[in-house]
Parts: sequence; C-alpha cells; structure tokens
Amino acid sequence: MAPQLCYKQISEKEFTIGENRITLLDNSTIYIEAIGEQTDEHAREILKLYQKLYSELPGKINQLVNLDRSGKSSPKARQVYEEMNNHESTHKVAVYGIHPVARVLAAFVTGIKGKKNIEFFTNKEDAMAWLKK
Amino acid sequence: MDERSEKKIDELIAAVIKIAKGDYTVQIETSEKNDKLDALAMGINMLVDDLKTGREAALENEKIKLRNIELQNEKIRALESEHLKTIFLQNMSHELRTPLNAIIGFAEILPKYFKEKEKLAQYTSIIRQQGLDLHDLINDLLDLSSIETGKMTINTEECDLNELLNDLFLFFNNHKHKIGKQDIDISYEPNNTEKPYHILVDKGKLRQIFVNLIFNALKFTHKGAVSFGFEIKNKQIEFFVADTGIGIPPEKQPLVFDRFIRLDPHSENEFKGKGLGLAIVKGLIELLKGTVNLESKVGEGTRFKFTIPYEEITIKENNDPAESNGTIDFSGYSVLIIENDITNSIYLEEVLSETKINILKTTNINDAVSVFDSGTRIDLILLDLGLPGISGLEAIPIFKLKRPHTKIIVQTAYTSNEDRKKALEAGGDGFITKPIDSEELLALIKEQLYS
Repeated sequence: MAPQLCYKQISEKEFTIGENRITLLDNSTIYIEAIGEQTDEHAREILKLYQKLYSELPGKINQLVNLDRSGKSSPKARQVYEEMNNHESTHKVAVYGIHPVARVLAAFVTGIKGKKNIEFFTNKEDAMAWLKK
Repeated sequence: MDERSEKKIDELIAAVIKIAKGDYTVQIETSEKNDKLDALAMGINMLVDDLKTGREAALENEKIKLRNIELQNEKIRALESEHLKTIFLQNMSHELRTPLNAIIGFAEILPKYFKEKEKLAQYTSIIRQQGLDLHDLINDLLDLSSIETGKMTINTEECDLNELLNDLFLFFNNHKHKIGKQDIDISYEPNNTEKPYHILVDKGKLRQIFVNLIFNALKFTHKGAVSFGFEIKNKQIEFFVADTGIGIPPEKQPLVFDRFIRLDPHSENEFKGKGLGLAIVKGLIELLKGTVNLESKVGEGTRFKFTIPYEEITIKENNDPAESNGTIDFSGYSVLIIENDITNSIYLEEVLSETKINILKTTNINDAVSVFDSGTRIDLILLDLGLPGISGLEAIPIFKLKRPHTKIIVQTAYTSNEDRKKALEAGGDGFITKPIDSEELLALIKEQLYS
C-alpha cells in the first residue's frame, strides 16, 4: 500500500506536496510549482494546505501556478482546483508555462466555465504583473 | 516531417481510433521535450480521463436510478400491502358485525314471538344462518392464518374421487335453490362411473378447495352452468371448476389469488364475500403439492384448473352395522356427555336422541367419575375440554385407566391441530370441533362404536 500523501512544511514559507513546491511569496500570493502528475491525492492535500493558509493570511489571496514541469491532472483534481478558484478568499489565479504542453494543461483548468479571475501566460513576469494589476 | 514526428502522429491516430471504439484506458507517452506533439498527447490523455470519469459517473447514475426505481416500487408495494391490510380489517369488522348484529338483535326480540310459530321459525332460522356465516368466516380466517404460518398439516386418507365429487354435486344441486341460483345447471363429469378412483389425499382439504371454487363459480354466474370434474394426466390429477359467469378481466387475473383481494370491492352487495376464498384455495392446493391456474374471458366465464400428485390405491370393503333403512341406530349402547355448557349439552342430547342410544349427562369430571365408579355401562364419552376443576385433557387418562375399552370423543371449541394432537396423545379416540355438525358427530360415534 502506497504511503499516504501529506503536505510538509519545509521552512516558514515553503511547503511540499509530493514533488510539488508551494511558497508564500508575500502575504497575498501563493506560488505553486506543479511537478509531475497531479492526482486526486495531490489535489486533496493542496486543498488542505490552502484552507490552512487562507485561515492564517489576511484578505484575499492570489495564486501563481507554474505548469512548466507539470504532468496531467486527474478530473477529480481539476474539480478541486475549480473549487479553490471559486473560493471567496481567492482573488486571482495566474497560470503560466513556456511549453505547448503547459498551455494544454492550463486550458483544462483555466477553461473551466470561462472564469474571469483566472488567466494563462507564457512567462512568469506577465503572470505576476497581471496579479498585481 | 522528421521521423519522430511521423511516428508520434501515427501513435496519436491509433490512440484516437481506440478511444473512438470506446477504449478509455488509452494513454499516450509524452517526452521530456514538452513540444506540440507532447501537448497534443497530453490533451488527448486528459480528454480520455474525462470521458472515462464521465462514463463511470453515468453508470453510477444509472445504478442509482435503478435503485431508486426499486425503492420506489418497494415503497408502492409496502403501501399497497398496508392499504390492503387496512381494507381487510375494515372488511372483516363489517363481516363480523353484520351477522353479530342480526344474531343479537333477533335473539333479543325472539321471546316476544314464542307463541307465533311462523315468526319463531323464521327468526331462529335467521339466527342459525348468521351464526353459520360467522362460523365460516372464523374458519376462513383460521385456515388462512394456519396456511400462512405453516401450521396447517395434511391428514392423508383414502378417498373415492367419484364419490366425493358426487357428494359435492348433490350438495350444490340442492344448495343452489337456497341461494337463488336455481336456474344454474350444475353438472359433475365423472371420470369413469364404472371405476371408482380411490386415491390417498387430504379429503377434507380437497373438499374445501372444491367448495370454495364452486361457491365462487355460483356467485359470479347469473345464467348458464357450473361444472366440475377431474382427469388423470400421467402422475397428476387435474381437477377443474368451470362456469359461464361474468369472467375476470385479464388485468385482474393475476390478483385473484392474493389474500384480501375482492375483485370488485364496489359490487359488495351483489358479490358478497370476504376476499379470502381463493387465497385459501391456492394455499391449500400448494399444501397438497399442487398448482392452480385459471382461464377466463369477460362475459363468457372462468375455468379454474388445479393439479395434485396422483396416487391410486386399492379399495377397502366397508360394512355398516349401525345404518339400516337410512336411519342410525345405536340402541343398546350408552353415552356419557360431559359438558358444562348447558346449551351445548342440550344440543348434543337432541342430536343423539334419535339414535336410541342411552344418554347420561354430567357437567364436571368428579360427577363423571362417580358415574363410572357406580358400574353403569358406558360405551362412549363425549368429553368437553374446557371444564371447571379437572380439565377434560387431564381426565382422559383417568377414564382410560378405569375402563380402557370405553371410547372417548373430545368435543371442543379448541380447534387447532395442536389441541387435536394433545387430546389424541392423552388417549382420546376421536376429536370433533365446535360448532358441531350433527352428521359428522354421528359418523364419528358410529366409527368409534363399531371399530
């Protein structure tokens, strides 16, 4: 039986979930570097961590998601992402990636119901600029 | 296009074909390059996952839908069953109160008419008939209860089918006049008049099945005929009861054997009944290891057919010393009636008086023992079970110890098979239940005195 996946805090502002790395950039932005396949378990742990961070951080939160090293995400995981994006404490979600694969992956997340608080970018700078706008 | 791209595109096409054929396990490998071909492969992989999840969700929904339909049907069945029970209880209440009302009412006014013989006869006849109706109803309820709880037992005995059905024919041919069905032709089709058909069967139950079916046939037939009979088919006997009555609509045919079902509850006055008859018929036939079915056309009539296993036996000779010129003569014999209920005691004395048997009576066991000890001749005891002091059941061994050859017939309102078994195990020679049928009682006495 595979060990259960749990998020781990590795420093004051850094966490891991499997290979994924989650960092608090400032008090209003969470940076997620998605690495490898995103399963239902990953999504469940990301949700737990978000709920913890959302309860600790003041005001609304932005998410900056790097998909350059991400694998596919499961349908259930995408459902969880959608819930998080729709969370009342979520302000904006910027997803970025240089490769065509990242664009496709992002389409499966950003394309959800034509949400206006989520956008795809081909580089980190544009993504951050949009979040700060 | 380079070789890798060509190969990758072939791989993508093959995957799409598989997916089109419904294979949602397809996944295309992606490389480290993360190029457009990998993007296409990744997109296809995720679309397949979505399709698979969608199909699983649809299957799950279908299962839930089917389960919901099942639950809905179960709920409907439970409600129907509850509804039928309520109707049944209302119906039973009505069926019990109606004869009771007549019995109590006429019994109250009867003393006023002691001197008017015509009215006296009419009112006592009503009381008797209503009492018999009540008796039938209680018997039906007890039968149904015994069948449903598996407590009804089979009492197999020798039976001449031609004789049984001929008796039924004579009874119903006479009875039809009493129920205003004199215009209905009743016929019995003997299987072979030259050859009696002796079989081993629970004769009482077979008779009860026929009585219920023929009564039903008469009830629903306004003109024409009711016929019944049997034929041997391999190792089975197939019986039938057919009528030219109103028939049963096809949609109602599967319901006729359900308990508490009266085919048309709105026509209560025309087709009086409790809705138990056919449920009992089916239960009894199944108890005899048989099956029952029906054919019916509205306006043309109904034919009930039932089969039971056939076991032919050889005929026994039977001489009857007690009966001469059609009258029963027990002269020279002596009977002791032990009965504490005065009306029952009078009734028994009345029934026996025509047989010229010597009658002795007591109301308790102590007095009966005194009669025994006085040396008086007693060939037979008619013993009630529910006596004050020493019960009838306790008294049987006492009498048997004193005079082993004196026959004891238990006559009681305790009607279950268990009561019968206890009485016979205690040493009783015969058992008859109240209300006592005079012919049945005389036949039983005859059997005991001449056995």
